[in-house]
Amino acid sequence: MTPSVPPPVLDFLRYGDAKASMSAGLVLLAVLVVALTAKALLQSASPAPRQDAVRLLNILAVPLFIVFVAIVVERFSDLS
Amino acid sequence: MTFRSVVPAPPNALVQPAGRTLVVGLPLLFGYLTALALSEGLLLVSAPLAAGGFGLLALAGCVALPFTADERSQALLPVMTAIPVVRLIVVAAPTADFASIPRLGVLAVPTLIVVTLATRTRHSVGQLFRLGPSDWATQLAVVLVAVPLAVIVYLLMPVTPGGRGNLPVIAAGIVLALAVLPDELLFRGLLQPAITAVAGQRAGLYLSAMMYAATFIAYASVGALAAAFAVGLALGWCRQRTDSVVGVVGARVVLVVLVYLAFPAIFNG
Repeated sequence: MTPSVPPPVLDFLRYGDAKASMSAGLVLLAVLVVALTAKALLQSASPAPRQDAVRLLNILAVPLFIVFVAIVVERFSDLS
Repeated sequence: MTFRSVVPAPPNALVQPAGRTLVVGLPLLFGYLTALALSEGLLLVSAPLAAGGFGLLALAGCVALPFTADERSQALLPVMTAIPVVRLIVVAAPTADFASIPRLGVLAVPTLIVVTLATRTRHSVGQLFRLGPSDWATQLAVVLVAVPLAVIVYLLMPVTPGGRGNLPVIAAGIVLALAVLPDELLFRGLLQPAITAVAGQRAGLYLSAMMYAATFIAYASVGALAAAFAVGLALGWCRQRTDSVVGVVGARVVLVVLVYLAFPAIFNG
């Protein structure tokens, strides 16, 4: 048993409003933008930013960016 | 005779910088657990709303870090941030069209990245896999705990047929083994010792098991919640006793292979 999402939620993600503008992908993009902005601000604020804060923001930014790229690729493959 | 340091101590060296007053304790952990459970519950209403909840929880972890006053809280916050990030990925990643086992395999890749980054905030990834004071025989005994656990899980949370899609059985087994690795490293490898350091042995064990069980709330089934809590409690206890994640990772692999592949083949033909 691994925490995933149950069949009703999967059905929603397949056929529901997920394909429209209110998708979980948009929320992911918003969080990614906030994390990247915070990281940029942190690094520009001081020449030696706190490493633990930068690493924590990386925990958000790196995997979310990879998933965002996967979402974009999937949307383009749907269009083609 | 006393020795005096040749390096003069900075004034107020023992005083924390202004604003660093946040100490993660039981009230904050229960608050986090409630927020996580609420976000999971939102999955039953709306996936974008749930994603928003996970996103806010992850961002709250980042905002809280500069205010932490002690080392233990600073060690716990990356793990507390990693859990909602993983859940956000599960909801938002474009994997809804996959069968359940290949889906778990695909989701394991970003999850493993999250876990690796969270691990590297404190120590190296290799340190997670050390055997600790226990030997290989003890770790093997921990792996065997998976057999009765798998029976309990299979009875409480029946598996939907057709989970492996077009994958052959061997490939499905390998995918499952790889899929549970980051999950187990996150909950038993990182979360449990970090919570135990903050809340104590017993509270740490129960809280980490409850947080693991909370990720099953969206299944809207008491059986699924009870099964997840039992797994979290049993593997968490083994993790505490052996001080190693090797045995519990092996136990999780055996558990999922039994629950998803072996038992359906045996009992359903």
